[in-house]
Amino acid sequence: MERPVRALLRRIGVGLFLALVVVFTSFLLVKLGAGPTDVLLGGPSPGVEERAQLVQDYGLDRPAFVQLVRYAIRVLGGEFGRSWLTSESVLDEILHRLPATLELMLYAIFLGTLMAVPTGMAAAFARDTAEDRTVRGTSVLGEAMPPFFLALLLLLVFFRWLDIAPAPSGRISIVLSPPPTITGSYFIDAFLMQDSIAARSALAQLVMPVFTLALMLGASLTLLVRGAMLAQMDAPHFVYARAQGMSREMLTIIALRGALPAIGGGLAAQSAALLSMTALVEYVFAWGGIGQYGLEAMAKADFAAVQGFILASAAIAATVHLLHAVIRRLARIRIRRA
Amino acid sequence: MIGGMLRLLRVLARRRMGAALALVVLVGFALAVLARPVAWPYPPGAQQAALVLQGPSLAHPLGTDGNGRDVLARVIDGARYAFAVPLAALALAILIGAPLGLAAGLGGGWFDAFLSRIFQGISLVPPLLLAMALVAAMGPSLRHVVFAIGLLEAIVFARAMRDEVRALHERGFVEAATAAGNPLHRLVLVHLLPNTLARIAGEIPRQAAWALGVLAAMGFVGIATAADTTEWGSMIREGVEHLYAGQWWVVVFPGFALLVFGTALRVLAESIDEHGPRRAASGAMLAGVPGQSARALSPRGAA
Amino acid sequence: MLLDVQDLRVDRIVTGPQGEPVPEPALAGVNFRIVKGRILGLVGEHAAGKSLAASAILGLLRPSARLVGGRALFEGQDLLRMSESDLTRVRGARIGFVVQSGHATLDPNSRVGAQLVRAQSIHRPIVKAEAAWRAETIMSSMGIPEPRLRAQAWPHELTPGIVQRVVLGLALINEPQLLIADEPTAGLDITTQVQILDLLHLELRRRRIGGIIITRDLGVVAQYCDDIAVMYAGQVVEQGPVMQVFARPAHPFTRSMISDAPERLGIAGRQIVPPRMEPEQGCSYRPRCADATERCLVAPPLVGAGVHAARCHFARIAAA
Repeated sequence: MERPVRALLRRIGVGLFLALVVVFTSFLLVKLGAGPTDVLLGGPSPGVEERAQLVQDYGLDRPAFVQLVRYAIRVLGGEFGRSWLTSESVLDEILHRLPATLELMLYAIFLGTLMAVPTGMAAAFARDTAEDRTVRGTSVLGEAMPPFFLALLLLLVFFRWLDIAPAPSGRISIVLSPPPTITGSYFIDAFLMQDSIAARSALAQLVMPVFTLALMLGASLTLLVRGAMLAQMDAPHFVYARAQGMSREMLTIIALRGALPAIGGGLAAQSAALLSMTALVEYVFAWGGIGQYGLEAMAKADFAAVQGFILASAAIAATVHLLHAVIRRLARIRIRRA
Repeated sequence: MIGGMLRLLRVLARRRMGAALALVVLVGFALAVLARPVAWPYPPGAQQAALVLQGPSLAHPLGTDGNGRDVLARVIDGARYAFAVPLAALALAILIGAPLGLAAGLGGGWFDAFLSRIFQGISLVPPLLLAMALVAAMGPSLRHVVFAIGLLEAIVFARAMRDEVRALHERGFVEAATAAGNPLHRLVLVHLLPNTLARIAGEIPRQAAWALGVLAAMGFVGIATAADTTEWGSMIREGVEHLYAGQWWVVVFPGFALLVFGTALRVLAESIDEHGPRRAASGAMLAGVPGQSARALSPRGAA
Repeated sequence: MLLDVQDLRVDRIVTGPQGEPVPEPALAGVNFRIVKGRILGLVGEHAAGKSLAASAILGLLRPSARLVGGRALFEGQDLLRMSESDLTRVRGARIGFVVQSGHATLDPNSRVGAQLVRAQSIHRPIVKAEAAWRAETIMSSMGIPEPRLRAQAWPHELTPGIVQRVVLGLALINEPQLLIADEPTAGLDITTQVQILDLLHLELRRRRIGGIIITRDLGVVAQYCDDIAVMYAGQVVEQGPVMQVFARPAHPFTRSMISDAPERLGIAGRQIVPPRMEPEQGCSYRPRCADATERCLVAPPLVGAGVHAARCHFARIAAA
């Protein structure tokens, strides 16, 4: 068997193993729960038929190992169970809400990076001066800030006091109906349908949660960018570039180019944290994404939904890591590094 | 090892204003908790209908909440949770994680690889969310909170220990020590453990900060405890409706307490990292594990 | 006078016992001169301050080092007092820098040809085609076979010898007046070392420009340099024409260096622990000097006749 094929198979094997670990964790969640599994999944008062159905589907009368296998097969086949609160399929509910979450995350990453890169670079160039220390201090503050508190603070200032921001009522004003689904983003869909009122409302609703997330992400990203830039600036080839007489602008480009891998890696590693923050922010803004769904499910003991949420979160994180690995591989092919 | 710690503290105090300030903050909180029953005798639980939702005043510098309770007293009282839960979780995490990491680092081979993959898999789920789900499943109780957080932190410590032990191993320390005739347990207790623990000392306040954030999130969503407590996250939860009505103090002050406490812990962690003994690069830092970081270059998971 | 360095002083910031930053003198008054058309060999032990002096002159000190005093007059202008933007016009254009271990110092994210083009375009507006042609030309005059092909290579794909030729090319491509080469053959095998040094020497002579070769190898100085400046503990302790200094070394350190050195071109650079600088105690070489007396507790002045001078109380300079 050739080397690249073997490497690919190995990677697939590892991926499968990781998926199983995640499934096992999700399974364990419910097993560690306070109460019999059928109650946790079926609600506090499942009818006799429903209970019998649950027992059959999940093999609840069988030994634990069999239950695990059953569960794994169900999940990997896309069967995430049913929420006892809404009687809907968990998978359907999650897929329905996923675009909202992704929208928030993507905008936040975009805005956060936009804020963090110049700030981090400036801090690196102003190394160890008062400005640098201020930036670092602010970033540490940003990391310690609870996401929901920042959201509430911003709402206090901009919604309650200044009356600029709209109420945290979800993705669109409650008096308006959401646009038909094309991409899943209310703003983009309203824009495409040329519904300017809906579009404007959707945009207004986006500002606060995106800004909250971007600030938090920006804090840790700034430190990351600063560190990556400093590492580049201390590298021998950077001093040499200076010796060649490169201007400040050119040096910045060179340093930035070298810092990109570290920044990309850092972003990928932050994806899990970003997901957590997004969930909490969604909760405050009633955003209607999977984060709010999952957290509310936790509060209401709807554990089929909680399991689905956990699995979905892991899937998102895994996708980000995969994307990052692919991008890195492509960049490597282009540069053909040793 | 104690001598090393004392020396470290002295260096910190002299050189790093930030760390000194952080320690002052933390000690301040502790003193406030201890002194409160005497110095500020408004019982945190006392409900007085007449005093509902009064803004900050001389009598109540932080105002009163929706049940007429003095916010300052409640915020100070809430510091108990900020100390107790992260501490307990840390203890559990080190108790579980350190031996695992040690074993993986020393043993190597399939056990190490297996454990690594398991940790990697678990870490795919954002740790904050996993901890919250665990507590939600097990039931609202501080014991469960400590358990869940401790379990997830154990992964961080196991990885850190494993990396440190591996690094020492590769530099030949283990070989040298065994060649000198040290039995295994002596090697571990006298040589490895103190050395590696000292190196990952900076991780401890950082994980404590993470634990605080998780506790607050749980309190905010309402799954941490069944009862009505002075835990800061729960206080914020109660205060949200009042915030929108304009009575901001019920949310803002517990929130600031969280922010200040958490920042102090992270500043402390940073100082220890900078001035403490050098540590091996931790592989865990690139996997978004709770609150993990080593240098300015590595990402810091805020959740 | 191409380059006139006067009393260059640089401190290094070191962490003290309490953890606070402490300045430590690294260059305690460096003086030397380069005349157009002549090559100066700057020699000294490991960490005597040779590379530091070069970095200081070009304004490239690391954050942990600080310029404390002195002048570096390049064609009449003091480099140490120049603004950063003025300096960027000098670096790479009027003063070329040949760095050691090009493998580590060339930009790993750029192809070699592109770097040569870039080195030109940052100093003057130039058409890409012309810059590319000049890049190829200089690569071939540096003795790089198949320059057009090589220009597409990434630095890590090239052998160290070729890399150093590229580095030399980068230094010369903008036709500088002065070339500073900091241990240009470090890490290369003997044959390649000779080739690179021969090339360097040839180019300097051909273009009739001034050069500084920083090295630990006396043999290199003997073979390729016109003048020599000997550094010890952050100072130039002896300088003068190579022939004279080698024939009648006036400073005890120079004497010991020459007597210890292998006769032929070869490996030098004994790894001796660099001396701690203690400015109060007079002559910095006193602890190692066989001929030291009480007089040496006082800092020795520069004793010299014309171009040959040495910093020693007992220096006896023979008239040229």
